[in-house]
Amino acid sequence: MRVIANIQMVANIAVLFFVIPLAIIAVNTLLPKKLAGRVSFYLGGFAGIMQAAAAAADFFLLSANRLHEYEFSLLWDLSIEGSERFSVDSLSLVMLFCIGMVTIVSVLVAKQTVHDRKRAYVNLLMTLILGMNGMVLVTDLFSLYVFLEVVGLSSFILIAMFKTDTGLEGAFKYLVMSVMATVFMLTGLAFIFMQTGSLQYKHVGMNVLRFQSHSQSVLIYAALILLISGFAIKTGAVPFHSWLPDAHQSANTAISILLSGIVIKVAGIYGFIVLVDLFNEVPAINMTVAVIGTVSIITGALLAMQQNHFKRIVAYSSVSQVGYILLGISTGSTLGLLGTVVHIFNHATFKSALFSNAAALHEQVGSLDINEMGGLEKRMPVTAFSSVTAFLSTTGIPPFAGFWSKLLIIMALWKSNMQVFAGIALVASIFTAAYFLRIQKKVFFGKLPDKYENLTEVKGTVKFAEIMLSVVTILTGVFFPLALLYLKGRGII
Amino acid sequence: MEAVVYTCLGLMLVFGILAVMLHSMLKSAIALAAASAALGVIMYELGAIWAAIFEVSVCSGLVTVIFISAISLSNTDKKDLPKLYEDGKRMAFLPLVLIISGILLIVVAISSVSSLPVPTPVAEVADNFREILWNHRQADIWGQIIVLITGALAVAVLFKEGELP
Amino acid sequence: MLNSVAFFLMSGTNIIWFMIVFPAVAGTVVCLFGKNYAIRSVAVLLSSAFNLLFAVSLYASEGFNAVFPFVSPRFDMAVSVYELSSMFLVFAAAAFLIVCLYGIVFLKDEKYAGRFMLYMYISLSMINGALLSDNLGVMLFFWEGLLCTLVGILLINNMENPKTAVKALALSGTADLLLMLGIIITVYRAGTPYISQVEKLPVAGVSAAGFVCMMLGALGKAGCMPFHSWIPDAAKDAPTPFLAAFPGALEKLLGIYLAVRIVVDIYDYKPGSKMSIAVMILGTLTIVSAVAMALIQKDMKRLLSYHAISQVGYMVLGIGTALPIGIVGGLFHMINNVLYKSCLFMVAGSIEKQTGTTDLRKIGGLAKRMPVTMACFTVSGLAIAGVPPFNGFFSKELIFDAALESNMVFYMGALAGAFMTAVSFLKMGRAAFAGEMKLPVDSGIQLPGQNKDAGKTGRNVGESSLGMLVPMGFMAVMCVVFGIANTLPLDKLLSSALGIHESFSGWPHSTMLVVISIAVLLLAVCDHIYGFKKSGSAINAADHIHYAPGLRRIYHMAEEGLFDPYNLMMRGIEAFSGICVRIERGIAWIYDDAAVKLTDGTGNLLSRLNNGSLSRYLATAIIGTAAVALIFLAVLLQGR
Repeated sequence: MRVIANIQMVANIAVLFFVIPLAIIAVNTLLPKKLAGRVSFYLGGFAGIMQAAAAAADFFLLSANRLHEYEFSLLWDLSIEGSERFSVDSLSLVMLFCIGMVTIVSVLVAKQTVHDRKRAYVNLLMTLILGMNGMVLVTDLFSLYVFLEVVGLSSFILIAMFKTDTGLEGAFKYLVMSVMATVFMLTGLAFIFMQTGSLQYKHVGMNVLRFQSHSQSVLIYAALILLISGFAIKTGAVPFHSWLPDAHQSANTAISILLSGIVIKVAGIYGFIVLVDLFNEVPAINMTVAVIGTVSIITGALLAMQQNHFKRIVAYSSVSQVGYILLGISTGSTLGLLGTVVHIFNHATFKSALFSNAAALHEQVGSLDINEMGGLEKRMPVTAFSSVTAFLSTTGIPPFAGFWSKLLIIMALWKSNMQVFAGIALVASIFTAAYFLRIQKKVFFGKLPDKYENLTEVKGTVKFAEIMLSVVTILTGVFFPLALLYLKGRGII
Repeated sequence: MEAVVYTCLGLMLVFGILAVMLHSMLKSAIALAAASAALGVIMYELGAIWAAIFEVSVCSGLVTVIFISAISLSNTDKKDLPKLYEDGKRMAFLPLVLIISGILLIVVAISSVSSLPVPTPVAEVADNFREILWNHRQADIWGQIIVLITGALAVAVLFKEGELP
Repeated sequence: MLNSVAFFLMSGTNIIWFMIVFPAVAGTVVCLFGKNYAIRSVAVLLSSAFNLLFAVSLYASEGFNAVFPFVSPRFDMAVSVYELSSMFLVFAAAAFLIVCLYGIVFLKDEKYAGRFMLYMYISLSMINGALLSDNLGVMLFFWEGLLCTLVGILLINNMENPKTAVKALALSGTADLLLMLGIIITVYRAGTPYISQVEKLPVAGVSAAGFVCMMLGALGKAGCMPFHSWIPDAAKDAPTPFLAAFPGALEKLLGIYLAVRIVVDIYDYKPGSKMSIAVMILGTLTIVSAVAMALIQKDMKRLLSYHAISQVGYMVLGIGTALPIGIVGGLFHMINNVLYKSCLFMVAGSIEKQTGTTDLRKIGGLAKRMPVTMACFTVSGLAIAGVPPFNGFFSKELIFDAALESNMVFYMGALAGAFMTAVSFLKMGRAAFAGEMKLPVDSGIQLPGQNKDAGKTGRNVGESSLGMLVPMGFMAVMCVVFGIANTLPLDKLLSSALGIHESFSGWPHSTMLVVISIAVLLLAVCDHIYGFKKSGSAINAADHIHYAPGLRRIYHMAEEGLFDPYNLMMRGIEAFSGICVRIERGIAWIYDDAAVKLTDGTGNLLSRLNNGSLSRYLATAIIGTAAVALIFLAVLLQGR
């Protein structure tokens, strides 16, 4: 009895992933204007906290029931034949948790960086969350695409909403590239649909074995090429990355956190996870993803070394880190997937931390040109500490969180007979260290310019976000072996 | 049924021309959405039920996407637009547009009558739009609801001028 | 009384406490509390006397073996007291006593006297330890300890310019390294680290390498070629008592002791074997080349230090024959060398103390001023030249005998050495003591260009103090005693210690050899007179050899240090390090310049490509799609 009740609870909680943002949009829109200015952020933060809490609760309920996934619907009858369904599993719940966490950080930072259009920001934040939640919960390639459009649309507007020249330009570039991705993906989906007659994951997964004849294979390969390209554009993997630094740099920092911290992962990486999972019979897909990943790691790092804008460096760092995640996916093994998921979480953490630092620097220094800074650790110790923590985690120095995920990914690569890629991934850590050392040295170490003599540490929510993310990074790193043991004990690994 | 198809074709043509010719971007976007909706109806009437569903799903997303791209493009040099495209001059192109589209329609009609095969009914379990939409694409409905909400919000955010300093 | 002392030493770990720890403690006490000269002297006298007493009592006892384990069974302090080792202990203790007394007086006013004595005492600990230990590994430890104190003493006055110390460290260190290698091989072949348990190893194959390494190490410590070249340099930098103590006495004691142990106990070393000939060649080369260098020296200490090297050659030659007569002769020569060479160094020190210099060109006519010193010099000089009836004559005759028995060539080499030794000492003695005083008389007026501290003036030159004369005189007397009454050292001490029943004492039995030796000595006198007549002064009496056609260039090159093994070694090392630097720079270039420039350049290129133009972005994406398609195609084709 109790177990069944628990299972019902899983569905009840999962529904919250849609209900809460929708409810908040409704409340936020209906509030009187004056009240909205004060309450909006609290509503947004509430949504983030609820999302994270719901994801955690569902995760433990699922594992307590020793279930791998649980299907649910939103106001429709699951018993109808051929009906679509939402589904929660460990992977999607981790993604949902990350979404919640990054949302909280974004709201915390926005409280100090977003001064007008607060209501609109929170509304669009909610639609963005809805889109991302939908993407990770659906079980149909076309629905995935529909929710991807929601994510894309919300992102354009979030970038463009403050109507700065750079913001509009960045949004426009993102838009054009996204349209291209849309065209690729739709075409690819159409090809697959021609072969299978259905786009539900289980039908595609079953039917993919049937592609024996030559023409059919060609069609599927074409579809895969197009889908990979489309998702690579959304992810910002090299050579589809060009829009990413422009968009992430030009957006308000609170929005950059969202874009770099979670959107590229849900919109792109999650698509790759689904593709590799569905088409694991096609050997070329692993190789392609691995090559894209490797190229991304190296090119992103090389480009990051050349930049002088704090946010742009961090944006290019995202390109590089996404490469690691893609390498993890390319193994197709459980270990690789685990490494991928952990790295997604870690990347969400430390990338949010770095963008929080950017917000702090922007608030206090007024500029993000790293050549103008120096010695800020004396005036902004919290920011400096959180930045160093994030940097060490990104580089993969034990015992910080990033070490474990990179270790898992490299181990998975090694076990999947992809030693060359494992070696490149290892060596490329040097590049990561190189560009981050450069940024740390120029911003936080060295001599303090005279004009910054009276600088003070950032206060309020940004400081809180920095501290919170540093703590999460360190705790994850220290307790990660325990987490591994827990997952193993629960049979998730 | 034929009447519905031709009516929709006409509507589509009208909305398409409106979308191109209208001065206001918002109106132009709505016109485009209407045109694509009309196209969806035509597809459904012709038996391409899946295509019709995809058209509605995609266009309600894409339309918004495209119109925002237009906004972003035109936003910077908005002041110069009236000078370049005087209303009178633009209307002068209307007959040309009509003539071209008329010729296109005739060509399409002739070629479809002569060469297109008779549409075979789709031998699927779900034969009608409603059944497919409500029994197979429930998640899409939610997705489209959210797309619409987002679109509305986008319009609200991007066209609200007064709030910014 | 000796028996009771010996019994006391043998009980428990007392032998370690009193033979090894006690000197070091005494040295520390002297160093810490010896500010006062009187206290210092008494402390040194007492402690050295006690050490001598212990040594004598051990010699008087029947000998014993004991093992004091440290940690593991193989690593322990195995003590072996038997006739040979305890005899060396006595010699070392006696030499130490005398040299230290001399040193105390010599260094009376020097600030570093305390430190010097500390090093000396630690050296004594090390020598006692090395002589006592039966375990080769532990012996090596003490052996290396002696090197440390040696370098320490050389550094005392030369902290700013430690060239000599570094040279000594490099050369002796190489010798010690060879010894270590040799010990490793020996222990490996013998299967035991205890000398007393080693069955005589055959000198062949791997063991031959072990023998060579160990022998080179032992002889290197004694100052044999090619590990000799730091000694003449030390003559310039180090205090004179050091010369008397280390190159003169203690190092030779230790080195020759081990060489004898190797030849007699550890390896089955046969007369006439190839190895024996090799060792004899080494000895002969050392004799001839070192004495040839001594011949042309104009500085007393430097001249003596070359003789110190040359004399080792005789010992090596004697031991190298592997004949009982040669070994006994070599050992006897070692003892005699300790006596007369220490005495000679002390004479040099005495002159240095009184005149402020040992440069033969500046001094002269000291006979009247320093008669006792001159007497000591005469005795020890005659002894080293091998004039009967002094001790050097008898030991040399034994070695000549053994050399002749092995091969004529070695005998000729040894004779040549004897000839040049005599010539150089005639020159040195006459230059220093005969003739007129060359030092300026103290007129109370500061002469221009004369440094006030450079030396004492002629008027003040007188006989040295009693504290220096007594050790010198004692050594000189011993030279005579060991010559006339050579039964005591030869039969009572050496032969019995080595277990040889033959008697080598008394007048040499080969009259022909004696005649030849005396003829050589007379020839040397003639040569000196010829040289004196030719050049007109005693100091330049050897110039006709120095500047003889052919020899002149060789001498020049030798003076330049071209034959110095240290310089050769250093040149080799420099070349090697030059190559290493090149390689290192190359590697550094790869990651300092090449890698950085490559990374930077690539990054720059990429960011230039990424210039913000949307059409270029789209084109890149299209190219990316094509690349993805290509990868697909490649994998598919590979799959076929």
